[in-house]
Amino acid sequence: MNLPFKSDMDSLADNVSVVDLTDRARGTARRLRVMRTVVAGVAVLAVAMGITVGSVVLPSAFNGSPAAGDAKGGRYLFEAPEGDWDADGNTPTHHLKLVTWHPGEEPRTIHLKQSYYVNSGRVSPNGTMYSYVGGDDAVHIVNLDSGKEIDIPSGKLGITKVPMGDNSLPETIPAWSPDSGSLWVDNGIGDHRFGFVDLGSGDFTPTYDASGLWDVQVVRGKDNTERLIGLRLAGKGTEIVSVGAGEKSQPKVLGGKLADGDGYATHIAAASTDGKRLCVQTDAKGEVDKNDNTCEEVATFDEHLHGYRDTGQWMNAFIQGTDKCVTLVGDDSGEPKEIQVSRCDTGKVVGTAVPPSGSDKYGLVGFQPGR
Amino acid sequence: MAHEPPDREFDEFARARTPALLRSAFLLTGDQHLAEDLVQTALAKTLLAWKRLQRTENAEAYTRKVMYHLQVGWWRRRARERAVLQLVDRPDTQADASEDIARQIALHQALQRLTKRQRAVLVLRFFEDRGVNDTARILGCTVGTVKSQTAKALLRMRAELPDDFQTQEWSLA
Repeated sequence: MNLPFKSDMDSLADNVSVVDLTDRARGTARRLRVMRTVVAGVAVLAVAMGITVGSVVLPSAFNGSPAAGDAKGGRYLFEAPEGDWDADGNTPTHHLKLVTWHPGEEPRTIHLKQSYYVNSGRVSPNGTMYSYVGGDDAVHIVNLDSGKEIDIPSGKLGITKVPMGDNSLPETIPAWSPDSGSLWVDNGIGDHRFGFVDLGSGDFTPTYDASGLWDVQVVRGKDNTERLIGLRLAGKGTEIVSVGAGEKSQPKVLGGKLADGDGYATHIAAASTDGKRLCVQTDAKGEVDKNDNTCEEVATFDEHLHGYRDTGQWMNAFIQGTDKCVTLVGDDSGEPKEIQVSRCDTGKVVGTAVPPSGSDKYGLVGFQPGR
Repeated sequence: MAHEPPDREFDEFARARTPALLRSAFLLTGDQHLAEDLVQTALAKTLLAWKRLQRTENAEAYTRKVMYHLQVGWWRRRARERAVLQLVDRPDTQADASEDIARQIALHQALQRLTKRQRAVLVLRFFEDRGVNDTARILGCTVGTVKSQTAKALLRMRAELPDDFQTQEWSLA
């Protein structure tokens, strides 16, 4: 009975061009092997202004019994699968849990209520909250101190739902404002889809229409106003643009191809809240790999691209308020090797620690000294 | 690397199975580049699990399962990946080729209007000829979900496609 349908689908499938993906798959496997152990996602973790990494005491273990001498320092945040990775580094049920850990204390697990859209989790700049898009297509916010979900008031527009893309997946990742008081979202309603939802009142303030941008981050501009930084297509590649949050703002191109041979930015994995540093993934042809939203390069900006540095790793989180990055580094086989705090601009390592035991199941997504 | 599996064994598997995997991936994504991305990543994950899979029969089943999971769960980027059907020029073009192409475009567009899960169910059941139990196992959901998603998908397809598709003959059996 279904033969005509089968025949039509066969004909449609004939349109695909067969290419040899063996080498590409091997390259992706190498990257996934490291990513699996180094990190499952990325987030910007904020700290109080003025904290220096020199005062940061890094942990020596993550097995619940860190050395007493490491009792000070801060809070690490990890993403981890509920249960286990499915032997290939994937989370088949798309359920994640959060693990927070203060050196000297038992790690604490926060179970997310909803399944999780890949790469949708972000830590608030003040380091106290974590947002993600759940399988119910709604934005969820978790208080990292209490482990409980925070309800967003319905406000004027009731913006508690992330709109669906044309494939029933959210198109825009909610982004935190630098003061952690609002989430920038795409509400999918009419001509004013993009804007800030105030977490206190639920009110929605429209912003620049960011259609065509992806991986938007909200940063603080020189005049202390909020700016959106994102990627858009340009010519044969991509370009990084910055635009004021106002509805009538004009976007400004910060940079296109980052450097000869290093290609175009294809993802912005994280941004420092001052907008001066972006953690970007690059590709020679500007082709976006959805499964590779990582940080290969730290790009430094003022009005334009100021410089960039290949991190040699696949993940970093900025330590807000400083010029430091924190990275969980894997060895060639992907096993966690070292936690490093380094200068973002030069890569000079200023602090190291033994990674947590069992951290092949965890992805470091943030570090908050002094918390 | 210490964990690298034997090159030849995986390479032979990947090269042999890529064409079939790409066909399913194309129906799932509606786009050549997205299909390549999907198969590439599924193969990469298979490579990581290669030692455990041992036999290529297991490897193919595993790769397909990963591919469907990825497709249902992957983040979709704005604008960048709007699916555009690029119909290839085939040398055996017949006189009624334009009608065939129009038919394919209609089917392509109708599939794209489904949710990813609905599309995955249709591809598994009607393109790969899998039963509801098998489909449920691959997608990691219940048989009831497969049936309900199939019914919704077919209903949507019937509404989208012209009469000459004879959609009323499509069944859940």
